[in-house]
Amino acid sequence: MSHIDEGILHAYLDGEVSEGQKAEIDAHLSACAECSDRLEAAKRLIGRASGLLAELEPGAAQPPAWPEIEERAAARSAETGSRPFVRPWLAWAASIVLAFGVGWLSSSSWLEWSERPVSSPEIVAPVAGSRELVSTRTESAADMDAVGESNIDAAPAETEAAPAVANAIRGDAEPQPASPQQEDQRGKAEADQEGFLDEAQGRGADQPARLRATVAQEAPAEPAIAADEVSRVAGDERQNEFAERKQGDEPDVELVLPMAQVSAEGAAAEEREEDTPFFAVQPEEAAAWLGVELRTLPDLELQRIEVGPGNALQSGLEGLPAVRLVYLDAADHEIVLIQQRVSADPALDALAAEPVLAFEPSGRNVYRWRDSQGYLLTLAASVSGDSLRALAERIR
Amino acid sequence: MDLSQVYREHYRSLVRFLYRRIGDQARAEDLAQEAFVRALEHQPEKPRAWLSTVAANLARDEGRRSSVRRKHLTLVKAEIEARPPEPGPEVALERRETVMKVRAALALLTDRDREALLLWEEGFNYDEIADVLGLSRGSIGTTLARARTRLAAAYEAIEHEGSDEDVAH
Repeated sequence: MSHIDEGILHAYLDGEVSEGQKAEIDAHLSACAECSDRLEAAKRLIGRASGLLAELEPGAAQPPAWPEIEERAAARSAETGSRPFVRPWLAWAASIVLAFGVGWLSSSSWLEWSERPVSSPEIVAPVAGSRELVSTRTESAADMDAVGESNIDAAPAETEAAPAVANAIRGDAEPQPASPQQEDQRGKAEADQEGFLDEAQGRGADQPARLRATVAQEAPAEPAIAADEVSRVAGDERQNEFAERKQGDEPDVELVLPMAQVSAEGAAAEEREEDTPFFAVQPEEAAAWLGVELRTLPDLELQRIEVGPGNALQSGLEGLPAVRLVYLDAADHEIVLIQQRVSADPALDALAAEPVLAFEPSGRNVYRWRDSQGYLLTLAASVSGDSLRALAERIR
Repeated sequence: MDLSQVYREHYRSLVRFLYRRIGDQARAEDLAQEAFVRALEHQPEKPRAWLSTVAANLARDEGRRSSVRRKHLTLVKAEIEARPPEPGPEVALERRETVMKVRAALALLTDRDREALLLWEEGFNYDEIADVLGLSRGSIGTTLARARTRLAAAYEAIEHEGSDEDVAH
């Protein structure tokens, strides 16, 4: 009669044998006194070994916070030049980033916003240095915020300002000549734009076609066009018509969405995001739209920068521009940073005091806060709140 | 699994694994954090097993770098620092001797046996241990049986040596 192998005995006692093996062993043990004795000895041995190892218990120590570990990993990635760490399951972040977005923002309309940059006399004349221009642009934005939502009809004065800003930021005193291909695209865009303007008269003339089309929820798909092209298309006459309509029709409302409502809007808004009117722009153009220098996430691979209306985002409000920076991590997943200008709304003051971390049941988190210049920043990813905060701290 | 969650749930266990392996708590914590930093860079599919593998490798490297004398001094220092205040000097001395004997006995095991045993004590099952050590699952029971036997035997031998020395003095 063969006896049970010592390793099998230990596996049996460790609960690591299958049901079939266990039945066989039990049957053998009931008939074999020697193996039963060995089983008891093995039992004592296991207890003894565990008891000895229990003597080697480290003292209590407070582990560093997880963000510190992440910072070390990021710093090392930066040192070695390797791609920075990111969680493999961040893939979802991009599509929902805007999910909890900016529900409590005050609003006018996207149309109104699109007019704002061109209403400021300071930004009409091209400026040689980009830094000075950005500074001027920022002041202008602040001024406009101070003016408030009721001033929407003051905008259409100078529609060339947006391209002027963009061009000047790029260091161009004059718009660059377009290639034949670009001209074709521009012509098509203009034609589309004009056609749409006729159709959508009363919705706003000088708004970027792509943006307005989505706001209206009825425009056919069009190729994205640059902001300066759009601004050039829009004429003063149409702007004036729009301004008149706006003055009569558009209420200046402050809309504050409670978080519960924000969450409840989930599916529909997410669907809306699929058709988002965001279009890709260059960094300097995005800064011009936003009216301030872009915040960026260092050490991550920037995939694209997009500009769009706030109401294209889940729970976002129309009338406020949003700039979306999409980063790609080492695992080819997206991390999204959204920057949105907000008006001088007292209802938003609470945001200035404390950043808000919103959790989704799915595990996606959104962390948002207002920076010192009053801009709302939203960082979204399927990571823990601590991780989001750590990422937020890296934003510059 | 989210690495931050793994960190919350298993950092302490990893520190203990390393501490038992190298005997220096501060160093064990350094190495555990290093393992998590590397995990962030590599994004392993099985983070817990991956972390243990890296930790075991780090511990081996640590052992190679340290001289026997320095390691011994570190052990003593670490044990003193790690332990909470004892009720009395005699008890403290006895506890310290026990710890040193256990550590000495553990040091007599092969790397594989020692790591298998430490992983088991940290709650790893046979599949996970096999995964970390690159062994077949069927050999884990035998490995653990040998490790336990040798640990207990080595401890008994060390204890007897100590008793003989006491008698000689």
